[in-house]
Amino acid sequence: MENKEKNEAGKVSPIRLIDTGDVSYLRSQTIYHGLAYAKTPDTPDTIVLNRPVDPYVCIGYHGVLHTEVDVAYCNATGLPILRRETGGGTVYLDEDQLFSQWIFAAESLPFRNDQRFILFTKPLIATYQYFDIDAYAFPPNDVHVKGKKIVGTGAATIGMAEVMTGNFLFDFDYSIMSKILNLPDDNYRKLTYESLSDYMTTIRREVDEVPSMERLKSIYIEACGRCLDRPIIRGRMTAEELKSIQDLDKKFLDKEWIYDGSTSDRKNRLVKINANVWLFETSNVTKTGVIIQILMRTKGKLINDISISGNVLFNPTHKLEAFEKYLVNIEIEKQSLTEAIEVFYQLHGIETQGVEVEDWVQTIMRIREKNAITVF
Amino acid sequence: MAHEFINKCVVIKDLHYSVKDNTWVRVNEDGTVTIGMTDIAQSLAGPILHAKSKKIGVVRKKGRPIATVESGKWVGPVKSPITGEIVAVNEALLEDVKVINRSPYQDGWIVKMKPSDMEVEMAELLTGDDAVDAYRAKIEEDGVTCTHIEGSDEYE
Repeated sequence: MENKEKNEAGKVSPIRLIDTGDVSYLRSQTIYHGLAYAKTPDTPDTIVLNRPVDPYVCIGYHGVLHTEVDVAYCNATGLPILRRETGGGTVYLDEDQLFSQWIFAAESLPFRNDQRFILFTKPLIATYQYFDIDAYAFPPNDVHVKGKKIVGTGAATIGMAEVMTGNFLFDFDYSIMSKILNLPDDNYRKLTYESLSDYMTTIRREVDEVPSMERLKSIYIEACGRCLDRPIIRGRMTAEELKSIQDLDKKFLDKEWIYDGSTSDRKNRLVKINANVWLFETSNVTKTGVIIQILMRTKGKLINDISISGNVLFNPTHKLEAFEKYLVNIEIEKQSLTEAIEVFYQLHGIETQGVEVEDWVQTIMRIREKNAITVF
Repeated sequence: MAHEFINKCVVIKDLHYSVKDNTWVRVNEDGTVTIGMTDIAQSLAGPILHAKSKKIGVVRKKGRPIATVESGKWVGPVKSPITGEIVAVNEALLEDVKVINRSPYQDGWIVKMKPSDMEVEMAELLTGDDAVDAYRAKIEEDGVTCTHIEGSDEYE
């Protein structure tokens, strides 16, 4: 792959840097979308750095707003909601995050998406490492520190541009993040909060002395220059680009745009904590009409935490909690689950009227079948 | 179906291709055309999480998006290889979007269109050995190897 975009004279063309500093929540999104839509073959590859001064909620392009977001909570607390055109799930964004947004020609990036994310995260990782934060790439698109996520990323093809986005997390409000999500009950919300807190980290958590945003920016720009092997020169937006950005303001505030979304399987709720840790909620009705509800956290391919509800008659009743603990660290794989659950039933003389071992396996595996091609 | 494998990528010979945009066109008996993503496109995208087509009745020019797909945090357009009106969308994608990965040339079609200038625009697409040759060159140049998820269509 050749990253060095060259001009007609064969010289490596510089990357334009647009550092807007603090911007409104709306501009933090419309700026890179607008630049992408305005991109022509003559537009230089561009890196935008900005920080939103207002907190807001941002939903992915295909996200279903009411399924993913507690809209009532956001309205009551005055948190604006925007829909972006890059992928991924719902995120909470605020002034404790610095955004890096690349608007590049396709030829300037690797051909495959996975390789693009590797390139995009390199300068993010190098910057964290400069500040003694032991960051590393966690494929396909996360950056981790000791098993905890520290960067959120996204990407899209918009007009003639390839867009890559990511952020530096100076600090993060785990509590608000768990509140903005549409979750079924307080237990799920508590588990979401705990999981976010356990599996996401920030600069503030990792170092004693938090670097200033300006200092971090200068290190990041140097790292981008090194990783892309191209000069980076501060520049300005053209009148056409500014108009494109302003034109998008209306679209991004339009309720129809924000509320639009594809269908989603509400029976299978999925919250990504980081690329290795997910929360699932699923329910299943057995042939005999018994409802099995499962709230589960997975880590890698293993069950990491599980809570069972529904109307299963578990006898002896007090063994249900032991059953939940027993399932922890079992691989979410049909044979492993079947063998493990059969052993537990035999050891403890478990009876579950109308619920067979295969019903448990089917319910847990449903999570994998419905959601998990990205997870497992 | 006559087909060829190039670096594990399936190219069906009787389809018409926009090689640049990695889409295919099948001409139907009723004068409509079916459009979908190629095996190469689904491989490059990886496991697809969402797909959203433009609505029935929408008229699209060649090169404009007829759908968007999302995989691994990337969102991108499926560009129409011809100009025309969308007359059907694949409802099956709402239930199981990964059918695009498993069966890009059959069950994973994206939309059906009524072309406005089929004769001219179809002539601009590649089919048969011409398509195979073009894909062989593109696949070699880009270094692509296709990947297939469990349950994918078998062409052996």
